[in-house]
Amino acid sequence: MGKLRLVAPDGSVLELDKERGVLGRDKDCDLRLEDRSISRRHVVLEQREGRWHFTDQGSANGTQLDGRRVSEGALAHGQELKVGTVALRVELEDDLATVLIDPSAAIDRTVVLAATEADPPTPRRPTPPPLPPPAPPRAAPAAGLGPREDAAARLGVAVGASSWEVKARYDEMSADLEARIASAQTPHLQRTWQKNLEELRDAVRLLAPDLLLDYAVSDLPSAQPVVVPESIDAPPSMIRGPGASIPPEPAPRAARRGVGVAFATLVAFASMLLVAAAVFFMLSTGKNQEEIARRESDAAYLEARETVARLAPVETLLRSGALRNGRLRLCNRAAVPVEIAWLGAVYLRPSALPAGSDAQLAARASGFDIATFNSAFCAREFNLTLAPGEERDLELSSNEPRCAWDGSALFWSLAAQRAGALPDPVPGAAAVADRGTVWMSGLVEPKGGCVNVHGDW
Amino acid sequence: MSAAHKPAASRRTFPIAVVVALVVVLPLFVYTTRLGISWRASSARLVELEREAASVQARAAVLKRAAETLRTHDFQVCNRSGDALTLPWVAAVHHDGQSLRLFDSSRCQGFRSPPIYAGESRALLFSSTQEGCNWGGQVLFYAMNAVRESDSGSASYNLIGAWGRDFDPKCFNLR
Repeated sequence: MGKLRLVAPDGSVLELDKERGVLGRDKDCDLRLEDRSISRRHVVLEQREGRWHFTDQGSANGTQLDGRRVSEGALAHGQELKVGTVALRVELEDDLATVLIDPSAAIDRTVVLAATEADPPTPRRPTPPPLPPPAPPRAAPAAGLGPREDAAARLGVAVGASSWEVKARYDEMSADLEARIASAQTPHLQRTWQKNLEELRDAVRLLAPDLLLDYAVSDLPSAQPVVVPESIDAPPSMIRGPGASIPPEPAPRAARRGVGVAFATLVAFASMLLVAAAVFFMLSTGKNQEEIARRESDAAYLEARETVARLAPVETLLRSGALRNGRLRLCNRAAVPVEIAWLGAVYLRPSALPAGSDAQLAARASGFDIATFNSAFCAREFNLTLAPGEERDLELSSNEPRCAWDGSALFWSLAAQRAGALPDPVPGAAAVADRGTVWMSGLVEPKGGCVNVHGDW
Repeated sequence: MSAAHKPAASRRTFPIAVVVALVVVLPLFVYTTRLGISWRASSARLVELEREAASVQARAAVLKRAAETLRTHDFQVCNRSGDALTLPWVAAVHHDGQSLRLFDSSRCQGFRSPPIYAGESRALLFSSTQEGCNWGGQVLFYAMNAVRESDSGSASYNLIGAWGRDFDPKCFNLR
């Protein structure tokens, strides 16, 4: 593993030639920078698994890698490591194996260099046994080399490597290429990575034809990159070496994920509300049904219904006004005065209503209190003579309860007779025997009207 | 997890929510709505039943009283006096189940009350083709003029009332 060099903007170089070192302001640090934005022990730089890594030590102003604030990560050649406000360019003297690709070059011009001094990547899947050492380095496919040899060289495995060896190698390299394709910042770069990936697949198909059929690209495990383009016209920061951190997700994708989460939360909340409402409705409906059944079978209710059905004719009578008072009004259409010798009436007596919540029912029920007025018991109070053509509303006030009558009646009857002096008898005719008493009766129309008192006078 | 995996995961979040919404929430919504409609119908039925019960019981109470008031009886006069009685005029209100009817003897030709001797009981009725004069003897309200003939002379009494009220409805006792 080579040295790590950090180049400051002023051109000064910090070089770390051991496997672990601390960068900071403190005089005990391995790499010392006098800047107020740098903490005393700012960041630790160390080699792990053949790569340089950095770990921020909780610095006040943080550490950024290629403009992105991170607390730890792997370093690659050409990246910018910013400690505090000081930007340092990373230079690795002897990096991991790289593939130098000229996008315009044919495959036979591609130089594949397997990792030689670096440790082989650790297999991510526990099942397969440890990877065998990669195939020996090959500068370039020799002229006349067979396709299998060429494919093996491209994957960095021996020609007779087993399928799982091919797969493991392919997993490493393809995962890195997938990541690079996803984060490629120029179409040119993306095409290059894509082409490289297709070549890898061709190589795998050749060496292990049954291997790539059963897993998709999205299932490929991640692996650290092994290939780095060299002759691509791109800034150094875009060419990332081993351990390059994955770029942040594009904002729209994150926003879409946020919307999805919000929608899922809304759905869950709505589901809970609906379940609660359903439970409430279910319980309440059951309770209502029980109450309905109880009330429908209630003895008092059933008896009342039976009574109403049985007494339907009575209701018809009531609706016809059978028990409705009217005002009694007498008219004398005769040419002679008429004395009402006797008058009787049957009427509904208005009763004092009992207090209570069911006052309306009490009023209707007590409205059938039948009373009688009989003038025979009120000789002093009742004295009525109607002049010819006179009309009179009847009403009688008295301290005697049975003689106090407001003139309302259902049924009336009277005895009327001619009042005043009897006419002289006509010579030769029979003498007038009496005053010609007549009895009359009738039902009072609720609408009113005048009862014509008439006789053969 | 490689970078290539992340977009797939984020794409899956929204469709799962949509699928949950379609598979769970929509049927749940429909089910809850139906339960709500059922609950509302049962609540309305309960209120209606409560109102109907109160109404029916009130009507039943009124009709019972009305039926008692409108019950008709046979017009029967019992002479408990020691003298003979005549009824020169009789009026009776009865009903045919539809409306009230009036019988007034003064309007009916041929009505003549026979004397009711001491201790005798007599049911009154009158058959006639004359309108309002065909009376089967049923009475609800009555009015009459009764004349008591005695050795000391005659006395006339005018009576009116609801039949059976304050006396035995089977017999109107004249003393």
